[in-house]
Amino acid sequence: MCWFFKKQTFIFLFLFLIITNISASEVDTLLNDFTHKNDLSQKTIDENKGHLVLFTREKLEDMNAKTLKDVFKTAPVIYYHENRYGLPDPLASGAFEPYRSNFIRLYVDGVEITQGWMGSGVVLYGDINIDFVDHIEFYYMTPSFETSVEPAYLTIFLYSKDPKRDGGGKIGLMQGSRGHNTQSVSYGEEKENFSYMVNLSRTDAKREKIDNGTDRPLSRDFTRTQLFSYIKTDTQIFHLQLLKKDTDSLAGLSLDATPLQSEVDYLNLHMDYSIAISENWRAQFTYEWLKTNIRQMDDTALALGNQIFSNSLHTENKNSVYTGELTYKNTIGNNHITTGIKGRLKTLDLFDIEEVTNEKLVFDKESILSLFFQNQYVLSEDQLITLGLEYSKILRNGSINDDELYQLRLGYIYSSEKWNYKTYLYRTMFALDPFGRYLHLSEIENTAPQSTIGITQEFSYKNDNNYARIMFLMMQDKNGLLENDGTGKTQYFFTIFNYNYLFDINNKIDIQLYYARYKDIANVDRLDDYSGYFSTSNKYENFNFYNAVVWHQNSIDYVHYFDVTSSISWNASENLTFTLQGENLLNKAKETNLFRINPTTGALLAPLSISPIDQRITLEMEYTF
Amino acid sequence: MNVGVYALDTQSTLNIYHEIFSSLLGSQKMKVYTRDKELRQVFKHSKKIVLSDTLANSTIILVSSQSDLRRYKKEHIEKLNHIIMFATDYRLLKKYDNIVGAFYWKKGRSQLLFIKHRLDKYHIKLAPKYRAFIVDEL
Repeated sequence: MCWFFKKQTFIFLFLFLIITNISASEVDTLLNDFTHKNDLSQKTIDENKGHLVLFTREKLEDMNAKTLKDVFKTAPVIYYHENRYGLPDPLASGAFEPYRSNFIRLYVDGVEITQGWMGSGVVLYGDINIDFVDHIEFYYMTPSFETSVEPAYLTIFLYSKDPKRDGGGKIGLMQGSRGHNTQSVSYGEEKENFSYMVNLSRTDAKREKIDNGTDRPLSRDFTRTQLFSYIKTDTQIFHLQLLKKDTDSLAGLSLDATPLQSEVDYLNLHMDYSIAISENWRAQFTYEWLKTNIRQMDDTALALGNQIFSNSLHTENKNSVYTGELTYKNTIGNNHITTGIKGRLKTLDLFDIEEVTNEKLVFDKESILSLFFQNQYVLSEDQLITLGLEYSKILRNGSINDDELYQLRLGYIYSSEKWNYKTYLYRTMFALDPFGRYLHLSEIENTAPQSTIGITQEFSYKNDNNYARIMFLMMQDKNGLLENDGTGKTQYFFTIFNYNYLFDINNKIDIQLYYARYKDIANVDRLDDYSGYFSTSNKYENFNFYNAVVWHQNSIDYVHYFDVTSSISWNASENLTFTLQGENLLNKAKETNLFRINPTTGALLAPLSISPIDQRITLEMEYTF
Repeated sequence: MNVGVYALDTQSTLNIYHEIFSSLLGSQKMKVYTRDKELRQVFKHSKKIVLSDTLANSTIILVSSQSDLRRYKKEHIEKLNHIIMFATDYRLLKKYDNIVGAFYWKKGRSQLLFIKHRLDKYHIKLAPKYRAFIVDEL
C-alpha cells in the first residue's frame, strides 16, 4: 500500500513537472512573439529600401557590440577595413588615395551623416561607439530615393534608443588590453508631450602597433569624445551630435610608411531638424561642420594629391554641409506615391597648408539639387511593383564641369507570412567626391561620372524557429571611379546566404555565407572572394554566452583568416551586468595590404599586412538607474 | 527621417496582456485604466478588455511613467485597495510597493516579473506556469 502511494505520488509529481514546464513555455512563447513583432526594427525597416541585413537590439546585445566596427566586421560584401591613415574605409585599397568609401552612406535616425568634402560619414562614424543605438540596418544596392541624397551601394541605418523602452540612466565602464578604456553615460526620458535622450562617451583606444622595420612602429591609437542627443515630439525631432577624435594616423602620407610624425585631429558637429508638416508633407534640414588638423613629418618627401612636400605637412581645413529636403507622400488608389526635392551645398571653408603660402581655393563649392519620384503600386495584398526615378544636377565652381546624374530603380516585391521574394533592376550614376577631385585638380578635375547597371534577387522563408534567405546581385560599371589600371568596366557577382535557427527563447545560431566574383578590378582580371559568419547565443540563469567566428578567404593569396570572438556576461542584478569579452582571439582576423614606395627610387616595397581588428580582452561593467 | 511614436503590433500585444490580466484578476472583469496612448489604441481592439476613464472604476491600473505614479498618488490610489496596479517600466516597481509586477523591455527583450509578497497582499495566487517569473523581492 505504502509502495502504491509512493508510486502515485511520484507519477503525480512527474506529470506536474511536465505540465508546469510545458505551460511555462507557453508564457515564453507569448513573450517571444511580442518581442519579435514589437522590436523597434519592425517599425523602421522598409522592404522597399533594398536588400536588408538586420541587427536587432537583441542581436546587438548578444554580440556585446560596442562600436559600429564590431557589427560591420560581420557584414557580407563590403568588409570593415581601415586605410593608411587608420580611418574606417571599407573600400580602401591600401594605396595612397585619401578616401575610397563614398559608395557607402551612413544614416542616424534616417538622416544622413556626411563629411562634406570627404563625402561619406563612414570616414568618421565607421567605428563610433553605438551605446545610443537600438538597431542597425544594412541595405545593399541602390537605396530608395526617398532617403538618399547621394547614391550608394550600401546604406547603413543606425536607429537610436527610445526612452519609452530605455528610459532612465546607464553608466558603462570598460577596460581592456594595452590600457584600452571606454566610459559612457546616457540618460533618456519620456515626458507628457516630448521625449529626449543624451549619450556621452569617451574612448581612449590603445591599439596594436604595426612593425614597419624601424624603432618607430606605426601607431593608430586615438581618443574620441562623442555626444549624441535628441529631443522629439510626435511630429518633430532635433538631433545634436558632436565628435572630437584625435588620432595617430598610422602610415599617413609617408611613402615608405616610416613617418616621424603622423597625426590627424577632427572636430565634427552635426545638427538636424525634421518635421511632419501634415499627413502628406515632411521637411528636413541638416547642418554639418568638420575641422581637420593634419600633422605629418618624415625624413623624406611627402605626397598629398599631386603635390609633393619636402618632409613636413601641417594643414588645417574646415568644411560645411547644408542639406534641405521636402517630401510629399500620398496614396491614390493602389499607388503609394512619394516625391520630393533635395538640395545639398558643400563648401570648403578653409584649406590652409603651413608649408605653402598664398594658397588660393579655386574649387571650394559643390551643390547638388535632386528631384525624385517613387511609386509603389500595390498589385495585391502581398505583391507590389516599385518604380523610382531621380535626377540630380551637381554644380561646381572653379570652372569645373557640372554633372547630371540619372538614377533608375525598378522592383517587384512579394511578401507573405512565410515566403518573400524581391527583385530589382538598377541604373545608378556616381560622381567623384570633391576632396579627391580637389587633390588632383589638374588631372581629374573633369572626371565623368560612373554608371553602374545592376540586377538583384532575393528569396526568403521564415517560420517560428527558422529563417533562411539567399540573395544574388550582379552589377557592371562603366567609367569606374575607383582608381585602378583596368578598363573601368568592372563586373560584380555576389551571393549571400543567411540561416538563423531559434532552439528556444534562450538559444540560437546564426549562419552567413558569402561568395563574390569580380572581373577587371584593380589590376586583376578575376578575383574570387569568400566569407562566412557563424555565431551562437545562449542564455542560462543569469549568464549570457556569445561565440562567433568570421572567416575570410580570397583568390589573391588563398589564406584563411579567422576572427574569433567570445564573451560571457553575468547579470549580477537587474541593474548591474559584467561582461568579459575576447576579440580576434586567435589573432588571425583578415589582413589587408598597406602599400609602400621607396621614396628614393620610386620602387614598390613589400607591403605591410595589417588587420583592422585588434586582438583584445576587455572587462566591462554596466549599471542602469 | 523617423519621427514620433512607434505603433504596437495589436495581436501579440493583446495576447500577452490578456494572459497577464486574466492571471491577476481571475474571474473579475478586465477594466483597465491606462494613460499610455499606444496601449489604449491596442486595447480598443480587445473583446475582453474594457478601457476605464476613471481610476475608481477600474479593476487594474497600468502605470507607465513616474508622472503617472505621481498623479495616482495625488488621487490617493492607496485607498482603492481592490484595484491592482501593474507597471510597464521596471524602475516603477521600486517606487511604489503596491505595484505587483511589471511587463517591460530590457536590452531588446520583453520581460515579465511579479513580486510574491505584493501578490500576497492582494491575495493573488498565480498559476504554476508563472513560477519562473515570480521573485520574492526586488
